[in-house]
Amino acid sequence: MFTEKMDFELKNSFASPTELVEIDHVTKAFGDKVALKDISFSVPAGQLCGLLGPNGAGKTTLFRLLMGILKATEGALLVDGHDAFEERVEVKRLVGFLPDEPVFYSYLSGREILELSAAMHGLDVKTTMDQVYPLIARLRLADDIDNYAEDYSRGMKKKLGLLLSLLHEPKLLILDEPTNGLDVESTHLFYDLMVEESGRGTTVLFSTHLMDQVAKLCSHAVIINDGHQVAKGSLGDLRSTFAESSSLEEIFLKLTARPPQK
Amino acid sequence: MNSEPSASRALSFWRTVGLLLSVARRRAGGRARRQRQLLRHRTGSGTDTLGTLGVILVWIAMAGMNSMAGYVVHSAILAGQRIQAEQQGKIVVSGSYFIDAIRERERATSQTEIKQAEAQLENAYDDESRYRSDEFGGTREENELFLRKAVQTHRSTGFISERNAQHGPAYLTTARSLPGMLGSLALLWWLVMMICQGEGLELDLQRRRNPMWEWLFSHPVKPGAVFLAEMLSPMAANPTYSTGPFFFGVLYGLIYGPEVGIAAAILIGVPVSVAAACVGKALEIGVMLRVPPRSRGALLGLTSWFGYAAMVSLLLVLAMPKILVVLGGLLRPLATSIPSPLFSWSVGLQSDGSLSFISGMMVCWLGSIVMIAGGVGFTVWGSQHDLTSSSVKAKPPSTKGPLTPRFGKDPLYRKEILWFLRDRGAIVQTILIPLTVAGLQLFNLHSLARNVDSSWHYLSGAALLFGTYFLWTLGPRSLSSEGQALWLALTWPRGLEELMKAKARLWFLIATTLVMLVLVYTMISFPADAWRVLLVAVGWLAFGRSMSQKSVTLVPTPSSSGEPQPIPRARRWAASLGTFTFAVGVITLRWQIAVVGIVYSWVTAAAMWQNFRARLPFLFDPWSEKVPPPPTLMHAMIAISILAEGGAILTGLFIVFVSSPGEVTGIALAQALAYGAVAFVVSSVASIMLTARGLPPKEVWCWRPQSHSEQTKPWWWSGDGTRGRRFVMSMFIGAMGGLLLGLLALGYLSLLSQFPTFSEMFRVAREQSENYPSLKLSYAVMAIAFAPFAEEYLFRGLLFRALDREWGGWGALAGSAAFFAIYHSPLAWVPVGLVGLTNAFLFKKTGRLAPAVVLHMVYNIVVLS
Repeated sequence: MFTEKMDFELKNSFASPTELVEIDHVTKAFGDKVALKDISFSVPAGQLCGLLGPNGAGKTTLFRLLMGILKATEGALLVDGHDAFEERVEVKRLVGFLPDEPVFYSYLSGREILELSAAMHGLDVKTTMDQVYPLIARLRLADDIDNYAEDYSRGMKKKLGLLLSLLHEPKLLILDEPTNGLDVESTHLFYDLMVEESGRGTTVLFSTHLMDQVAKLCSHAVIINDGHQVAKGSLGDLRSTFAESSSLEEIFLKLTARPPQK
Repeated sequence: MNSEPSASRALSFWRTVGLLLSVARRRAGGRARRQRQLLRHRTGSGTDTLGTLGVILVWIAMAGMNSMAGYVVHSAILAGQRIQAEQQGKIVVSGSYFIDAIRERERATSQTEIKQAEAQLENAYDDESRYRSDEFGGTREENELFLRKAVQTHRSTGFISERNAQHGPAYLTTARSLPGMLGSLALLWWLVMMICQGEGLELDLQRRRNPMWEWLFSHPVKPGAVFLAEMLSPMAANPTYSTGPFFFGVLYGLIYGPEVGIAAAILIGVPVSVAAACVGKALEIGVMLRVPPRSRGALLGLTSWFGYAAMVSLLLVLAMPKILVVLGGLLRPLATSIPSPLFSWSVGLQSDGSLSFISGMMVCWLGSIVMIAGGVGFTVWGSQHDLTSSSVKAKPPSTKGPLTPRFGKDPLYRKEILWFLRDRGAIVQTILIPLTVAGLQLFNLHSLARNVDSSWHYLSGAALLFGTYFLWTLGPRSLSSEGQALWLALTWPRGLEELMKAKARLWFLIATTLVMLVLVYTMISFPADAWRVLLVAVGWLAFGRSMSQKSVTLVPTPSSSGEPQPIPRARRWAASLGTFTFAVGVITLRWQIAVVGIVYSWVTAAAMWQNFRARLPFLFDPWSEKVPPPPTLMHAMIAISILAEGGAILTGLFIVFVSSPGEVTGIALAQALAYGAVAFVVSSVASIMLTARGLPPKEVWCWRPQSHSEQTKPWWWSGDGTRGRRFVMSMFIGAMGGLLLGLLALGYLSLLSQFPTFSEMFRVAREQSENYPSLKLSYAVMAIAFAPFAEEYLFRGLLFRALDREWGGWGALAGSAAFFAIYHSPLAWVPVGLVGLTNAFLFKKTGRLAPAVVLHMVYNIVVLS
């Protein structure tokens, strides 16, 4: 009995060591257009990792690949040892996702959308709602939670999206430009929540084009530009590699520099 | 200090309008160019000429529609004048020849003259009664009786020819008359139709907000100018407006003559069309500004729907002039008390009976100016409070009462129900539009619908046809209510399949409610046949469910640009196969066809879903799309259809070219030969095609478990022993099963022959086979040498195996057996179904087709001997 369990644990840890997200030589093409070219990096469990890149670099495409919405043309994406496309149902249990611009059903209130999502994740609706209520209040959504989500402001929609992504206590949080369009107070609240989640062991992968966010929150970052991965590693490594650049912002600008257009 | 920098001078009103219109034109051009690019990308070749041809065709169709609308106004006046004449005690007949015939008869004195005149009058009765029943209803006999009576009582003075009774609009002397009222109503109907057209026949409206306004108003421009430009934009987008002048061309042309008609089209038609476009757009802007978001879709959808329905109804009036007569009869009491001068004013009819083009033009110009100014004024007023309509706050949804959502059980279905109950646009999208399209289709099939009030099966058949069309229209719209919120469904571990099935359930619920209403009405009207109608209702429950599931597989993929992608024609065609079989079976009172329709629909739905499920993960990534693994149900169904159809066609060819007609032996021989040939060809072609897809025949005949669902458990009699022993054993079981089932079938048939309905059929068959020994021989060759191999390969090797992947377990066994049975004579459905069931079971358990072939062969030998 005991040895069996040991065996199982050993095998499991062997299959997926400490890396929660593994991206291995991934290329994604839409017809002739290559959106991502040979991306490889991994994120260990519990890490707060920033994905940096200018507009149109391929950040959202990478996230859609991780969510199993798109299939990689080449290479493999693993989330906790599961193939992101082939085992997408399992992966969706593990992942919480916040899109850049969350849009909601016009005919449901915020609460109803949370309930629906909880039910779709197979959770007990009432218990989940009780558990999530303190967070609703903390995000200052309690007064509006029974209003139609379509009438929410942009920031409120983002908050509702974050709540939805946290409902099923995912192992991995994928946040696409999480603080885009938020006021200062809410931005700090989002930062706090991301750090808290990471402290609880949740892996957080978020995209941004703002340097100070990464510098403030992350230990590691991946920089992609025009579909290519241009740098990865801990912030310290990045700084020492580009010794002459003092700030992360300068490194970023240097890496993503493009010739001027005519 | 008062000289401002030159940059920020406000644009003048008309400069603004002109600028915005030129931008709109450029935008429309860009959109058209982009559509052409997409089309070329998809089809891989330049189809510009086709696109241009399509635009021209639509323009011509709309021009025809507007011209016909002009003619409808004219006919409305004529119908009014006809009713007026009949009111004065005259009977209107189509031509003067009828009156001439009566006069001839009256004048006739000599025997030969009387005889001649009488013959002529008989002809006239015949023609006239046919004309009356075609145009105004009633049977020919009724009309003829009516005419004969009228001739006896009134003589020739009681009749008036159409030409004399219906003088036409130019002789409209007073506004307080029925012709004036009918003409004015028709004119108004056209105007309202034009106003409701909007930017085109976009039937499902998701346009809820126009963010461009905010941006436009951040410039120093006059709001009236912005809105006027906005209001003129439908003119460019919708050919209904640019062809509007044809209406006035025809209307004036019929009164004043062709030259004046052309002048009227330009001088009057153009401003009125512009005004109609403006009022329509003003209404739309008003709705956007002043109505809460969840009601906007409903109101815009309603107007758009009304525009469409009004257009259809104009065509309907043209096809059935009776409608005008009935309408005139209803309005007659009102006509003298309520003045309706709209028609006389707008065509320039003076009160003294004279005509004046100038006065008509002035009235129309004045009307147009009032409409345009009113539209602009209304929108400017509407925009004065708030542009983004954030002031129009919706009440929060009620979470008390029986509708309190818990989303515990069946969350997606609950979500769909809430959408239907809360989004007011849902009613338009899911009921009004499909209802109109289905109604229009039923009108096309009105030879069927004509008898709906005469018997229960026509009425219930019409209900079924209607329900089927309804689902057919609704299915492809399934994702439009999701809109941009579809991403949420993609984060759930239960995904899109359940979402689509929940939608299918809602569509089924709505369609069933409508169908059941008609069926209940049928039951009340025909109480004696109530139990038959009840059976039809049960049949609909079985059929409609599969129909709704089938139709959601036709949903177009949402593209990032928001433009709906066309559904591939092959998929549409596959889904439409056998769609109407059920309804046709009920209408023609052939229950076996109805049953075939239901079974066929279920299996097609499973086939469509099998392919759809393989496509679903790639809904957003068509570049990575893969075909489902062979054999699919679709492969099996296509092969089986070709077997059945091809056999029938080849038999026909044999009979026509080889044997003499009516010869029984020849037909039977032809049937056997044709069946054999087609079975051989179909099986071979299917094998070759499947081999190319990675499934060689060996793997069809031996079903090796590939995945988890196809796992077979060894049985007691095949579990141990060598492969050879197991094989012999299974073959033996096949033979014994065949013998047993064959004997059972013989017993069943002799039981059936006890019933008088069937005994006659059996007697004829027996006589034939005794008289023509060759007939029996050819059947035997067909049933023993060809059928077991081809049919086992197709029905078990392909169909059952694919269905097992879809339904699994007993469902697949029963489904494939039922599908096998419906390809045989209804008399043999029960025993053949049993053979299908047993063989599918044998195939699943042994993993081999050979025992099933043996069973089939032995069964056929027993039954034929």
